[in-house]
Amino acid sequence: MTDNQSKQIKLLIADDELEFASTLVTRLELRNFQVTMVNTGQDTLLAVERDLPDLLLLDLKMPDLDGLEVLAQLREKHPDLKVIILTGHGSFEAGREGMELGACDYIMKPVDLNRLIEAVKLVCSDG
Amino acid sequence: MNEQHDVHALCLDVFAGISAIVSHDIKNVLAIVNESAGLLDDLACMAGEDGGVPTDRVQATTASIAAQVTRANIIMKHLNRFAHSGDVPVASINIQETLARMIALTTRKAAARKVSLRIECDEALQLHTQPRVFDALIYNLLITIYETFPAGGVVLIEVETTTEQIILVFNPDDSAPVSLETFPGQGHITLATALHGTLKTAENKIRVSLPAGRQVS
Repeated sequence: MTDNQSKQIKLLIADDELEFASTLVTRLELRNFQVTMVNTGQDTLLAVERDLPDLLLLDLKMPDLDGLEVLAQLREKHPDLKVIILTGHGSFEAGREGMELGACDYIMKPVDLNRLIEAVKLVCSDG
Repeated sequence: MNEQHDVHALCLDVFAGISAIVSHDIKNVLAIVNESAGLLDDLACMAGEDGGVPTDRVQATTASIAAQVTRANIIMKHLNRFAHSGDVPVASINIQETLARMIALTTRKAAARKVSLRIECDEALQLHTQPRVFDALIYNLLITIYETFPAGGVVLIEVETTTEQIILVFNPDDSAPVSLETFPGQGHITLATALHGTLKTAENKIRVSLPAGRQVS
């Protein structure tokens, strides 16, 4: 389960579904990722300012600020921040919109953890 | 386009809107169950490595799965009742139950704006009406409230009765003034009219007056 290659990757998960986020945190920590989570759009902006992650896993539907709004605001201050969109939407439209705002990838919920880890490693290895 | 066509189109919009909310909620439930099942698998693998099973974590995870099943079951129960609202064109409905169901089905939208609602209604009060159109009217009012009221507001829904009318009063607290630009919207008026009722804003309240018909309490 351990993976030294992923040891240095610092992830921030932004999702308003607390149980989903906390379980995903646990599973990624078991695989030696350094993970923190937030549950609102505003907290996402604050968390990025406080401690810039290597990669942000961003849910599109959050109270207060929509994920796409968060992404647009982050792009202004942190144009190089890597972001993967997590979406529960049935269509690809919202994910595509996120990609247009500079997200590196989008992954549909329920999440295939292996697919997510592959995407995280690929995005983080891109420099 | 005639009035009947407008009402039909509005009701279809409501079905689409509720389907979108519910399918999103169910996807979230599945996402949590999926992660919980994955975590159980992780724990089983760890037990194989060092021989110990963290029973507290296993129990917490299975409890989480059970809670999500309950959550999904409640959502689907409300959706099923809503879907059957069009079974007959006219019927007697329990007002409190209907309001509670429409609030439950739109919880996600309310939570996004931190708007909360409280119902004050005689539990046994019934209204003889067109259930599908009544549901559509309540949905439209709730969505407009969520979208236009300031975040964090509280809205009390009171149901008053007279011999001739049942009056639903949407009464926001001081932090949530009713915007006369959004109430009543054209959709609200069309649906209230189809129910032979009226919709007015006065004294920072929204009042929906419907004919009592064969009211039973």
